[in-house]
Amino acid sequence: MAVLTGAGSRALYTMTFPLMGGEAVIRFVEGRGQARAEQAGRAAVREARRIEAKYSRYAAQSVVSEINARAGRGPVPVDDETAFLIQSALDLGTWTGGRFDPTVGVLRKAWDFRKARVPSRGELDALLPLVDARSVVLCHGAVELLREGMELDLGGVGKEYAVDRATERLREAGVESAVVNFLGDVRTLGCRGDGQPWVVGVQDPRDRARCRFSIRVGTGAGVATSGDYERGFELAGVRYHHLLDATTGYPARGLASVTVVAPTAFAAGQLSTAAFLLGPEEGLRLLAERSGVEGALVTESGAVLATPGMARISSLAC
Amino acid sequence: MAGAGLLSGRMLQAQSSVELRYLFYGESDGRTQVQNPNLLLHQDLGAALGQFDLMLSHDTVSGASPTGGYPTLAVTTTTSASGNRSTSASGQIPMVLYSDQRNGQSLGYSRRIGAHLPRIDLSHSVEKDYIARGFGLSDAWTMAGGRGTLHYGLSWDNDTVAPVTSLLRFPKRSRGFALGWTWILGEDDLVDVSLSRTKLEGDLNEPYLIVPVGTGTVPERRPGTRTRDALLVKQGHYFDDWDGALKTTYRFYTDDWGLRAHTLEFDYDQHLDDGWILSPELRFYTQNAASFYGAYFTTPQKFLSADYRLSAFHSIQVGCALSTELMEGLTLRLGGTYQIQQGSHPLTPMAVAPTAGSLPVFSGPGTSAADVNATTFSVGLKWQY
Repeated sequence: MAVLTGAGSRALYTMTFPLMGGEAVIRFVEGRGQARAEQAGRAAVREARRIEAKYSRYAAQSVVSEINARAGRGPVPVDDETAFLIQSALDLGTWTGGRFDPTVGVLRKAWDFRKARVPSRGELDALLPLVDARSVVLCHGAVELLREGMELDLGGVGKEYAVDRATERLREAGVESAVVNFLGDVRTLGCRGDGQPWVVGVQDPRDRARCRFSIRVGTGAGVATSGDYERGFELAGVRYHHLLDATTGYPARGLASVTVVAPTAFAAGQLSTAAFLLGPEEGLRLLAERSGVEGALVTESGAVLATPGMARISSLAC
Repeated sequence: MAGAGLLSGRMLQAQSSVELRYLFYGESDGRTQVQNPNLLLHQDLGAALGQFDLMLSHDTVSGASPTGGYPTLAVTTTTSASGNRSTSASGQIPMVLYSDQRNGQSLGYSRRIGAHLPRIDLSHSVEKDYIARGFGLSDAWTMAGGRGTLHYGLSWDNDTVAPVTSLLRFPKRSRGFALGWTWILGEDDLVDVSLSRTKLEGDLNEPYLIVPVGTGTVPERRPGTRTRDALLVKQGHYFDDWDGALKTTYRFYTDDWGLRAHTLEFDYDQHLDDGWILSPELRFYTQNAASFYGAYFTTPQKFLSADYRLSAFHSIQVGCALSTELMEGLTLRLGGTYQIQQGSHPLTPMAVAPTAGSLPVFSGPGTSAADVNATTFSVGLKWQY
């Protein structure tokens, strides 16, 4: 834990740790001394790691691995937290008309973004029957994947959930001012230590070194971005990325990134994913219809579309 | 004669060794971390066949590295699509996360011919975005009844830079020459003076680094050639009374990029009871900045770089190693170092980013990408047979 600045007894603490294959950063202002700060920080890190271990598809002992191992062979009892996350992922599928699907992960058998190879239609068609949210049955405290070979992936909602839960741990530990960033998904608590709003830069999807614009987040909110630029490759001028449209098996087209501000990181993450998969027009409409939500969409051509309220809280001149 | 033959055989066998080493290098604040296990084999085949060395190494590199971007107070944190990327916090040096693996092999062969010990070296290593191939020829010519040795050599490197962000491959070549003289003075002193010149050409840019220019950033641009010169002076002294040896090394380095560096190092070996050797070390280093280094440029220049390794900084390193013979021929060595490095010109974070019509405003406590501390830990097991 690094203490970056101090003003009287209040200090800004920063904790950085690896999480979900990337970097997690927790920054918070604490005025009750280093021991209390470390206690609060450790509680947040513990919570993040608990969620990672529980829902990672890479961990053999995770709930998700257990559900996948039982695919086609009967239901698996789940607790309320898991049921909530699975239901949220299914809801996201409903919002997007099936373009998001919590079982889309099986397409990774055809898409290997590190090898920069576009799978054939036949390869995808062979896998698409296993991408079917309707075959995920959640009832009476149990979940069942009806077909053998299906794979549930809660990565689409789990990371933002971890951001919110870690922030909640900080709040429970008495922290009033914090910003939590797990691999680009952000949740703030209160205002910055100097009373000013937190300023969240939005990554330029086509220039890794720049922020495209910034957002002022006053009294706590979630900010999440979905984009085509982190996991993918470019071939013959076409960008292929990991945000796959479950109805076609191919990457969603039209947008380079979507950033959403919502009351929680969880909601912001769900909406940014949904808007990205829906494309510029439908995506913007989805965000504009939600109260307490603002969003900005950067199209593949570089144009920015934003909800009416975005101009008030960002550096965008909409 | 049989006795002499046995003795000769034992002496030759005692030259050969196999060593397993593990080195850990870790920088502060989550920056670069390297784990490097390697295997070294030195095989003496006898006077007629010579001796060869084989080294196999595997590096695992991970952590965060400065991008060259300027620290700014304008943004607290950054939202982005999930990926293997770092976020830049307010006032901090922008970093990017990275990881890589490097597999290296080198082979050397030498054979004494009269007063000469010619040697040939081959090396090869592969990492995700870099392939290195090296070739060297050298000779050590013993004179003055064994009290002086003239050593000289040539080296050729032919590398390929293959940035993961590009489909293009860029060549990078170097040619080197070294000349030195080692002189044994009396019973307890040894002096070595050597000079080297290395000329590099090709793509010498760091492909992932950026440079803040005006209101934006550009990739760094370094000259396509670099001539590096170094002078090395070593002096060793054995203290009879203490049964200890002190090695003092001074190195002066200069190149045509305007960089000059001085290194002063003291290594001491103290023999203790029961065969233990305690080896403390102390090292000072300082360098000035390359002529085209800058943390921020208002207008573009022909050559520019914001790489902190080309900036002015200084460091101090302390270390200690302990070795002992576990059984006849088997030696264990444990060592560690700690280095404190500070940039000579801390950067003041940018409070207000520049726009087309205005210059940036700087504010807040200074920070430098060169401010980094490093710890190493090594363990080695050597079997001589």
